[in-house]
Amino acid sequence: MTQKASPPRRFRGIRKQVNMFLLTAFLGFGGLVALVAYKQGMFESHTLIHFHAPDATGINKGMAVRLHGVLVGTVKDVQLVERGVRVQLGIKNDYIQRLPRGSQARLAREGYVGAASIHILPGAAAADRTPVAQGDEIRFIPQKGIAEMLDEVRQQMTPAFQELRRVAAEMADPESDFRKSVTALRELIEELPAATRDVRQLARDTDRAINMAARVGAQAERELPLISQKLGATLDSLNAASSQAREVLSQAPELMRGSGELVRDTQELTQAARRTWLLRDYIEPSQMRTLPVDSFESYGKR
Amino acid sequence: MRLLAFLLAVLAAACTASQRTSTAARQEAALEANRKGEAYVRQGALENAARSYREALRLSQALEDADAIAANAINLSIVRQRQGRFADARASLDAVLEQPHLKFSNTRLAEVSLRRALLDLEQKDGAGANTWVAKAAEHCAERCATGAAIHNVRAQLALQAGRADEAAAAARSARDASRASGDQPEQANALRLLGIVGLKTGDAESARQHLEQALAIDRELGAPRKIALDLLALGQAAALGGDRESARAYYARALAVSEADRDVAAAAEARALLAQ
Repeated sequence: MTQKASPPRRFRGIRKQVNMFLLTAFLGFGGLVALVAYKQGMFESHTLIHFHAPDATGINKGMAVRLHGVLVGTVKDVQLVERGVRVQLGIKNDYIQRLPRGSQARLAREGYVGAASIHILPGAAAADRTPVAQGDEIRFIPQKGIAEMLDEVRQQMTPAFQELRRVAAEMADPESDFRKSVTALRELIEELPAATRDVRQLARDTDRAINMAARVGAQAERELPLISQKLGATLDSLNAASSQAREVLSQAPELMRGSGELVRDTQELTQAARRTWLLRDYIEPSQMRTLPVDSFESYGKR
Repeated sequence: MRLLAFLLAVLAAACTASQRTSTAARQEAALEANRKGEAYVRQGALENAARSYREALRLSQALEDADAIAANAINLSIVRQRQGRFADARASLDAVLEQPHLKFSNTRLAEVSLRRALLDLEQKDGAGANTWVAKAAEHCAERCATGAAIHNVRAQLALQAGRADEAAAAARSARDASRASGDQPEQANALRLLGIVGLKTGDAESARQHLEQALAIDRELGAPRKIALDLLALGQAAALGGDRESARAYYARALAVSEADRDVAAAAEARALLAQ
């Protein structure tokens, strides 16, 4: 009477199937973890360097470390120390050659609202160019706050504001050069309409003169052959006359000197003679001139 | 003693020399003013001319230089008459006529009296003009430089009084006197007066002949006002002879001359005759 129960037909081999499922899920999870670990650099070797900062505001563990915008490592640790905080950076060994000992770290953001990161500045050319090594310290440049930046701006702008205030005071002074210049400019501007009218009139006059000159020019062009012929003859005559005049003029300076002296001598002699008592009574004085007494002065007016 | 006399003589000579120098300087200044007045008259600047002649008269009076006083007084009276300021013209002649203590030459007195007669003539004071022309003749005696002018003034007075024969006689006397003395302006005046007498008596041919002679002389002398008077009278002579066309031509010429000479009175008369 004993009867053995057999499993339903649809559950045959289920154990094997469950084991396969679990194995696949485990392998998938393991692969994912390995991928994340790879992406996080778990399989890369790093060189640890550090810097000291007055405070760690904005600096977090795992924060990216960038060189010229390229991810070269991460913040490994942030520790409180006497000088503030000690921040440890893990730099991928592939990039360590590009980080000289004179490098500086600075906290920066990608834009005003982007993610913060540590930027490595390779440093000045004169600094130590040998690559950083495990445990080296680099310098940190603290980020300026708004108040500091405002203070800096205020310091830079103060001289400019003082200069502006001085200029404004000078502009307000009626005796200042600026006000005088503005007054003169205003008067000049008030005279501009009249000047413009004059200029227009001048332009019209010039236009008329040009037209007239054009007419004269046309007439001259017609008469030019005749004139040039006469001019040629005149120039020939002038040439002949000039050669004669040159001969005369070559003697002129001596003649002029002589005549000038002669005139002066004559004047002196005449004046002396007129003053001499023997002659002065015999020289007739100049007479008063009388207008002619014309008998027809009144005729025709009556 | 001799030394003292010599020093006194030198001092006297020096004083005389200084006085001569001062007098000569003043005479020079008066002459300069006289020359300036003459230049202004030529330019037609009568007010400036009067100012210069007045200054010359003042300087001459300061020296009691009788001849210079008379000359500048006559000049000033001529300028003032041309300006139409007859009272001033008479007042300037008073510098001679009202100075009995100064010895003026007869010639100057004749000229001054004649000037006074001409002033009265223009103001149609026939009696006064006759009186002054008689005084001029009295100062002139037989022959003097103003003889022809005196005759011409007498002729004008006779014409004004309508005595054509007397005017013709006086004008002929003036013509003869001026020819004798070589006074061409007065000769032309006399010939013009004879022409005008011819117009008055209706003798167109005689008038034309005398007027053409007068015109020739006036052209030679370069006297535009007289030329205009001659042309107007020639036009009237042509009109009197019935030649209206020639008359109009003379009037037109007279108008052109008087306008060029800015002689308003002659121009107005020429226009009036052209309009007839």
